[in-house]
Amino acid sequence: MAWCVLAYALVAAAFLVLTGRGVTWGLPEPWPVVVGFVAVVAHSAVGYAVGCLLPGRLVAPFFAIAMYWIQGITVLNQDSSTQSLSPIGQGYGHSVFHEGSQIPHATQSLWLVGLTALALTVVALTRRRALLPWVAFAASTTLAVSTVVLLLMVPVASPEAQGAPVPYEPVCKDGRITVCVHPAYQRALSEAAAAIAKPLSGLPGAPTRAEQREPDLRTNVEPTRRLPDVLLVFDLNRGVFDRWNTESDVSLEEFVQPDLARALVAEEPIRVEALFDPETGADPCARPGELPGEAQNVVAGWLVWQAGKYDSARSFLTESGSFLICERSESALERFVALGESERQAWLRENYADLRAGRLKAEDLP
Amino acid sequence: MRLARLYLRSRLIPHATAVLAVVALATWGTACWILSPSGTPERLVVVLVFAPLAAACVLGASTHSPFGDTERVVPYSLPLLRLGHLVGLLLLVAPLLCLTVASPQPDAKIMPDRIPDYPALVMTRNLIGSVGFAFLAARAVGAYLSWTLPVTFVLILPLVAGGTGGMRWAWPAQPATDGLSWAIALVLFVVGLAAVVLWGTATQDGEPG
Repeated sequence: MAWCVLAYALVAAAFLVLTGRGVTWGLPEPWPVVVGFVAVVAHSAVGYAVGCLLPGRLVAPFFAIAMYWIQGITVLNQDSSTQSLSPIGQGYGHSVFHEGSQIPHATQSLWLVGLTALALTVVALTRRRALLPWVAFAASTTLAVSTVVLLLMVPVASPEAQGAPVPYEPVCKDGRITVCVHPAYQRALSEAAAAIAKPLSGLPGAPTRAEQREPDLRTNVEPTRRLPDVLLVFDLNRGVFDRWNTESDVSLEEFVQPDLARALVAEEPIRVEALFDPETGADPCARPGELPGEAQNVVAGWLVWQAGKYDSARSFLTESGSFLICERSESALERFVALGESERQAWLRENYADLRAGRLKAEDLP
Repeated sequence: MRLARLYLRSRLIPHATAVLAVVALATWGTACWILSPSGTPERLVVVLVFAPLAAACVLGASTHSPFGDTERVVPYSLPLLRLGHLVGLLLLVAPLLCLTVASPQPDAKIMPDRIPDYPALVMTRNLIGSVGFAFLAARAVGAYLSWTLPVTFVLILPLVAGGTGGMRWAWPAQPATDGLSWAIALVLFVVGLAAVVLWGTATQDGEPG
C-alpha cells in the first residue's frame, strides 16, 4: 500500500505543478486531493479484506476492475446522489464562477475512513473474536453508515447544489470594443480577441463591451436572456481540461474566438446543436429553407478569419471544423471575404442591427 | 485427455469461466443502461475499454502455474497445452463480449452519431490487445500481478486520449477503422501469447514458471 500512496502523491504533485504553471487565477483545491488519498487507502484496505476472506488468484484483478466499474457507474448516473460515494470524477466540469462542487468532501473522506476501518476490523474479527475488534467493528460500521446517509441526502445535480458565487474582477483588453474575461481565462485574451471585435466598432447599434459570463456547465444550456446593446455574453465552457484532452496545438484563445465572434453578431446565442433533429438525426443542411443563425455564423466566421489567424477563407473553413455546418454557408463566407473593404463596411453599417436581431438570411449577404 | 483436463483444472478454468460470465453479464447490463433513454450513449466507449480489460485480467491471472518447474517434466508439449488453454478462453469470451454490445438496441431517440461505430469490432480489437498486454505482463512480473500493467495503462487513457486528435498510442480509444490501433493490438497479442506459450509466466522470484 505504501507504494500506491507514494505513486498517488507523486502524480498529485505533478498535476499540481503542471496546473500551477498554466493558471492565471485561483488556488489549488486541497479537498479532492485529500479524498483521493483516503480513497487509495480505503481501496487497499477493502481489497486486502476481500483477499483474506476469499483467497484466490482471480480475486485481485476482479476486485480492482469491479470497484472501478461500480464507482464509474455511480458517476455516470449523474442524477443520483450516489455519485457522492465515489471519489471518481471529483471536480470535473467545475466552474470558476462558483465555489467547488457541493459534494461534502469532509463527509466523503469520513465515509472512506469508515470503510477502511470496517474492512480492517472484519479482517481482525476473522482472526480473533475479542471485545476490542467487536467495538471497533461497531464504531466503524456506525461511521460508514451514517456518512453514507449524509452523502445520499445531498442533491448533487440540483441547481441548489452549486456553490456560492466567487467574486472576481474581470480582466479586459481595451479597444474600441473592450473585451473582458474572467481572470482564470486571461491567457485567452490576446490581440486576436480585440482584432475580432475591431471591424464592428462604430457601427450603429454596435456594442462597446463584450464580457464573458458564466455558462451553465451542468446542463450545457446557454442562458436565453435578452441583452442590453452595450453588453455581450460569450461562453468559455470548453476550458483547460478540454485543452489537455485535445491536440496540443489548440490554444485556449482558439476556443474563445468563435464564441466571441458569435456573440458579436447575434443577440440570442446561436446553438449549432439545436439545428440537429434529435428525433431523426437528419442533416440540417438537407432541410429546405434557412437555418437559424446561418447568416450570423457566416459573418462570425469572417470576424475570426480577418483577425489574422488563418491565411485564407478556405484554410479557415478547413480548420475550423463545425463552425459552419453547411456548404452553402461556406460559399457565402467566401463571397463575404472576397468583398472590398469599403463595400463590406457599407453593408455592415446598413445591416448590422438586422443581422444581430436575426432578421437576415444567408442569401441576404452580399 | 486426462492430462489436459488436469492442466485446465490447475489453471482454475471453471473459476475463470464463471468470472468471465460475470464480466459479460455486467457488460451487457451496462450497455443496455447506457443505450437507454436515461443513459449517455457516448459513454459506450468506457464499456468498450473496460470490459476487454476485465476479461484480459482474468486471462492473465489464469496463466499461473501452481507447479513451477515440476510441470516441465510432463511428456506432453507444455506450449501446446498453454496455447489451447489461452486461445480456448479467448474464443469463449470474445463472441460473448461482442454480443453484449451488439445486441442491445439503442433507444430510438438516440442519434446514431452519438454511438461509436462498429462496437463489436472495437470490442474485439481491445480484447485481443488487452489480453496480449496482460500476457506480456504475466511473463514480465508474474500471473498474480499481470493485471497491474494493463489496468494502469487504461486508467491513464482518459488523460491522453480525449478528442479526435488524441494520442495515437492510446489505441483502445481509437475508432474501429483506425488501422494503427489494430496493428498495435495484434502485435501485443501475438508477442504476448508467444511469450507466455513458449516460456510461461514469471514466478515471484523472477524464475519462469
